[in-house]
Amino acid sequence: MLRSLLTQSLSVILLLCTGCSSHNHDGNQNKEIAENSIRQWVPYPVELLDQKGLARLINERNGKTLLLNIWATWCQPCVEEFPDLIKLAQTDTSVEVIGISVDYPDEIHIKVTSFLEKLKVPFKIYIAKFEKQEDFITAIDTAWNGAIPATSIYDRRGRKQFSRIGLGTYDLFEKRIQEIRTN
Amino acid sequence: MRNRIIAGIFLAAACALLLQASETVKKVENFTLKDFNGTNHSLKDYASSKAIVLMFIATQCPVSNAYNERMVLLYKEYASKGISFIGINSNKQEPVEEIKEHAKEHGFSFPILKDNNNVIADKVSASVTPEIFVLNRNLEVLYHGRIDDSRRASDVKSHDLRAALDALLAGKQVAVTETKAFGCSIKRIH
Repeated sequence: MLRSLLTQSLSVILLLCTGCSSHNHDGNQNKEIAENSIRQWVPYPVELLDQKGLARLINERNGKTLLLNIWATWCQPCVEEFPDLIKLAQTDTSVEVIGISVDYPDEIHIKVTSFLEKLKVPFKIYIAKFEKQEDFITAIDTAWNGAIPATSIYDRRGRKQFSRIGLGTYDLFEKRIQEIRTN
Repeated sequence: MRNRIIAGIFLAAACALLLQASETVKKVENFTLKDFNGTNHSLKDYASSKAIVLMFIATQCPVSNAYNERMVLLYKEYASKGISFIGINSNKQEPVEEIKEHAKEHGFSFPILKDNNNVIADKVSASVTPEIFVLNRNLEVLYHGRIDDSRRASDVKSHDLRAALDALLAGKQVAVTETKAFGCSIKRIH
């Protein structure tokens, strides 16, 4: 009798445990789905950037190095460079990667946003909106004549420490960032 | 005494201005390149022209291509007025055959020279397509920069190259000698 009771109790406990285990599994799955949905890529809104905005962007550093990339959807090397910029933004938390597109403001929806969605770009993108394109070019660098891609790296105080015209790579940018950080 | 001091100040200011003017005039050294048919072209060959327009262009750059029609129109209008146009392709990934095909497709009647190893682009510090250098007979740079201020022909407000050529033909000084615009970086060998 005692043996039968013990066996039945064990079976109930086992059943309950199995139920618990099944319930926990579902719970973990839901948690994972929720986390994934949080982790799902949400685009930064593309905003227009004027002279004042550019100055603020460079000077308000909040302790981070800034990598500023000037690009356009029509620029093939710029497009080729983007995966490296994405990797940099994802792996180096000491640097803020920001892109400024020189596509026309009326091309945000038809060209820029779709490009950012395709690549799931995890950093902020602006569109340069200056009265004259020369004003923007000069504001970035008086020695620059508008060839893109163009990349500048600013230290934590907003001082330009590096600039490059043409295609760059993750390794090149990361090396420069490390050098700037240690100086 | 006072007059002498004033005269001295004026003289110094005039010298400074002259020095500045002579420093800002850049000169391009004569060079020889082959066009897509294998024919040699030297800048010296164009010595009888009223001016030479060097145009660094590309076959694959969307900005350069946005100017194809405008380049053809400018050539048609100003070649008859004694101005020579020369296209230069310095991009490493754009071979001669592609340049030839591109020129044929877009009706370029001006020569297009292949700048292998971007030697000339390096010499004149050209970095973008399209990029223009207007030279006088002494190969001095009278204008350097863009064709106009928008890759969209309908949005153009400032016809910079045209203004420079008109001034030159009228025997006037070019008012704006240097401009900038977005474009594709020239793909160099290193």
